[in-house]
Amino acid sequence: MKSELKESMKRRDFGRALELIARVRPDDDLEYLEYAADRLDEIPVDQLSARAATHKRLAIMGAATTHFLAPLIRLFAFRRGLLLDVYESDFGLYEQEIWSEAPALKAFAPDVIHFHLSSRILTMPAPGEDPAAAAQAAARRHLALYAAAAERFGCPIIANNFETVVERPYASLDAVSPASRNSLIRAINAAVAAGLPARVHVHDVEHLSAVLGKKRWFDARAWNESKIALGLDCHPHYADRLAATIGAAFGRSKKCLVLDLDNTLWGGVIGDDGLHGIKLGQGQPEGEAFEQFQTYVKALKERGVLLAVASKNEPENALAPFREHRDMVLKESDIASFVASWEPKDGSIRTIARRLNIGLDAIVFFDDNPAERQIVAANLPEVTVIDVPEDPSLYVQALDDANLFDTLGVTHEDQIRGDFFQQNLAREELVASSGSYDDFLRNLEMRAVAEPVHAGNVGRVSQLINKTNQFNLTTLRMSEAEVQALVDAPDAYTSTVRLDDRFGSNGLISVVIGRSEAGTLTITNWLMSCRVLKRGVEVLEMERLLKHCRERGLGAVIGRYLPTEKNKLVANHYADLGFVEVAADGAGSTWRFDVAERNLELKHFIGVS
Amino acid sequence: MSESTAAHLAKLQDIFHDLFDDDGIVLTPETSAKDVPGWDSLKNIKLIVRIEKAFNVKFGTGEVVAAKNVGELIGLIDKKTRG
Repeated sequence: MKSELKESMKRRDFGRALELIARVRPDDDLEYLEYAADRLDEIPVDQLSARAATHKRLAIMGAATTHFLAPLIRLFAFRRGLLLDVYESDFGLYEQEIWSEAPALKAFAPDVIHFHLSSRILTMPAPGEDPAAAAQAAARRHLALYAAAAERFGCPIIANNFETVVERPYASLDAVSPASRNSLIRAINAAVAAGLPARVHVHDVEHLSAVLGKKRWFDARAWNESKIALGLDCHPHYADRLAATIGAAFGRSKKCLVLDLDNTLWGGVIGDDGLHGIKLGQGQPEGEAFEQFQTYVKALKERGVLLAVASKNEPENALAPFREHRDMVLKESDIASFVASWEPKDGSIRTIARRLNIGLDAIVFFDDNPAERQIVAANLPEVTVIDVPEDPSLYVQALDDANLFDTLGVTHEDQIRGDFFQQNLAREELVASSGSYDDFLRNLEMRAVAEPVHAGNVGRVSQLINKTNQFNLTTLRMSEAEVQALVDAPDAYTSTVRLDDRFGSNGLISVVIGRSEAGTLTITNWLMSCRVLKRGVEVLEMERLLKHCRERGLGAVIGRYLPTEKNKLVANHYADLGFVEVAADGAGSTWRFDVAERNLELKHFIGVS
Repeated sequence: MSESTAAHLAKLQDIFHDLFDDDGIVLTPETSAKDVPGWDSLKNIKLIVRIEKAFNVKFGTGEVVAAKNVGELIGLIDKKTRG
């Protein structure tokens, strides 16, 4: 590996070099990974950006040495399509630089801050001091630091929790005595997790160090000589996990898992072995392995990952176990898009991407058959193909180790996302059976809950603000704290819509935010999830806006359209609603609706409660 | 220079070439960190790991840091491999 990378660098064949670099794994030889990481500094930035389109600035605040870690984080982030510029705090000054808003850090303007901490820096309570109170104090100190960092630098924070350690002076009492070092560490971790401020996330090194082995994790010599908090060979794993979390913060996590069926979800071939011949469930060793894999996949689905099936089978055979086998953990309703045909799988995956309206780069493919994986990898390079082990008992670990579906929070909408796509099939059938589009909208029996932003929906509202690209007039992003601040602001107008219909719930899908000043309401954000395009939700929002203006005696509504690569869809949004263009400049156009002189001439078919 | 010192020096030089990605580095017993561009504390950490692997030795805490030049480093390796 290394010699090939070395050769490509010598030839200045950066395309090939980056291909190799993009394939690194945390288990690869450490010297190779160090070498690969350093090469990123020698390759022109335009070539790096061609492969990693998202360019962000990461500040690492180290309570321990970060020099060995930083290049590896950059390497593993690159593998996930994220190009990072990295700032490292001066050694040990992780708190001072935040509280003093160090000029160098301020000038760097981080997009995300990582706190590289270790339990080695924690001081034990003094004799006679209450250990529980000491744990609370340590947690408060860190929580205050994280909150200050998020607020002052206006970016997400990813902070290590503290790793329990190998040595146990209290021996078996280590687990129970509140005075033991590990008890203190556990208490701090629990208190921090319970009190996390908005936009602060935990990098779970307590878990990672246990997974890799605590004896391997801590290298006392490296700590004493160089204040390196973890064994050198643990660094790639740390870097890869952290990169996954940073990726999640910038929308780089995968959205959909495409599964094969035969010998992937159950043992055997349903078409040959039949419903009672396949291996699945308790009582047979292999059957248990497949059941465990399904249980893991089901948990992914429960927290918002879309599941799809691409199987070479007759549809009725493929569906039979989902409908009739009592040991199936996954049900038909868990699968957002089900493709069973004899077409090559790259075609099936394209179909799935189109139906779910997601990019190929958001898809992960899991298939026991190496030939199918090969075809998909060759024809759809954007799709992530899992290197599936032969033994089904190892499936869960293979998928989990890949860290592809990291998330910073789970909202109600994440949990019902799969259902929504299922319902969409029924909605499509309704379109076909309705006479006109108005008939279709009437037949949908839509009901909306329209209300302002409040404490209960701030999470979903900020999620929508920060990830909606297409139906978004200004693409103005806001932190959860900024959204929260709108709740009690007297001059703020906020409106959200949750939309249900006869087929199910779409969740909270529309947000409009504005500010009133001198008799005019200026819209700062107007955005909507694309899953409810052409349902009349924007008309409902406009109706609410006008009602608000008339009640408050506001004479006009002003809206801005700021075009981006992705929001051409709403170029005519304000014109369609009856606004008049009053100004245009390089950034976009400004639109006005005179409340007293005009009425809304559009109608919708949504019942409002 | 004894035979074993020369052999260790050659082996060490290979490690340096690889670590610094520079085949032009020529080590002598007098070479010290200031003579090799980029030989900083981070490179030193990586160097220790590579030497331990190549010579199958394990250094004690602070031993390598105390070595002032390549000659002393080889002396240390010599002591460990003979020990």
